[in-house]
Amino acid sequence: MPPDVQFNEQRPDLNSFKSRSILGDSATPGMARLLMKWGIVKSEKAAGMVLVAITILSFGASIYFFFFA
Amino acid sequence: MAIRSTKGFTLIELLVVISIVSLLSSVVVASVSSARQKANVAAGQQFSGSVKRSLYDQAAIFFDFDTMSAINLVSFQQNQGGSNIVTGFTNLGNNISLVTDTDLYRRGKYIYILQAIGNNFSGRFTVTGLDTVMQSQNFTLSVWYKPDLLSNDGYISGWGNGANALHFNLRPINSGGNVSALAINIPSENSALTNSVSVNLPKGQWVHLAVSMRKPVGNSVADVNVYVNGRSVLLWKPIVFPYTDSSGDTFMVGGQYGGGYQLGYLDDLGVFSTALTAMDVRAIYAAGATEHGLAIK
Repeated sequence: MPPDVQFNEQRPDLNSFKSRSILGDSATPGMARLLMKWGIVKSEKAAGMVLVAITILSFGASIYFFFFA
Repeated sequence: MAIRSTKGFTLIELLVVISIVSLLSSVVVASVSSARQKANVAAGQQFSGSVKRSLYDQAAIFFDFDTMSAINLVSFQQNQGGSNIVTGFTNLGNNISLVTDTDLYRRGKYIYILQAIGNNFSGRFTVTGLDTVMQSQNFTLSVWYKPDLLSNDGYISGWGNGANALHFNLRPINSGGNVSALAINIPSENSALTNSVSVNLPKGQWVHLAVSMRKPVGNSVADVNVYVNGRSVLLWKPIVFPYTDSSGDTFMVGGQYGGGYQLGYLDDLGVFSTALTAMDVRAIYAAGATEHGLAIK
């Protein structure tokens, strides 16, 4: 009797990172999970965008403080 | 079979952490560097102040015009009229006094108002005890000067016999109401040698002027330097002879040359019994530049 194995490559979760589905990592990243838990975002993709925005803002602010403050 | 761990951080998590760390570190760097800058400025001011004090301590005479009373400070005769030409200028009889007008004097300190009207050599005060210094032909005059109005050439300072300032003087040359040149006399035999240098001194702006004369013993060629704001604008090497005039001499501050009027301001006037080096003059300029509203160049 074949084992009851299911593969989900054919139906990727549209709300998760594409890289995770390629790498086969099922765990949601901690920071994205935290943002969703706090209710700031609803999906993993939106959490990624928020984190990218935080990164850009932080780098921008650090450049400002370093060179212009 | 190797077990592949699924624990770790994603790229975006690492980027977020790195960016927050860089933000914090740049804030720290910015605050520390501004504190360092302030400390450097304070240390520089302290150094300049001590250099200034040590240099002026060597002066044969020094008028900072701050510690003297107004009456003692300026009691020269105003030759003509009694009108107050400069705002804040008090005319006490025929004598002229200074007032503590903060509009006129930076930070409430005294400066000397140079007001010379009318006759030749009018509007000056005299200083005694400098004949030996001037006769030695090794001396330096250092002064802060702010020209205001000119209708003719003036004197900033001079030394000579009788009523004139022939043997040594520093004169602003008038051209259309502006100082277009500085003329100097230096003592030689019983007269003087004259030279001049073109300068452009804007009205209402302080400028540091210095004239140094050095005549080595046994050498007839003297080094005469004129400095404007700490930089040499004239290096003159005249052949001079020992001073021989035995008539009574007087050192004077301020005055009019050739009639007309000269209005202006003087501050921190010192006469040194040696020819200061370019570095000394630069240090005096740097020490006084900020309080006279100049950025050190």
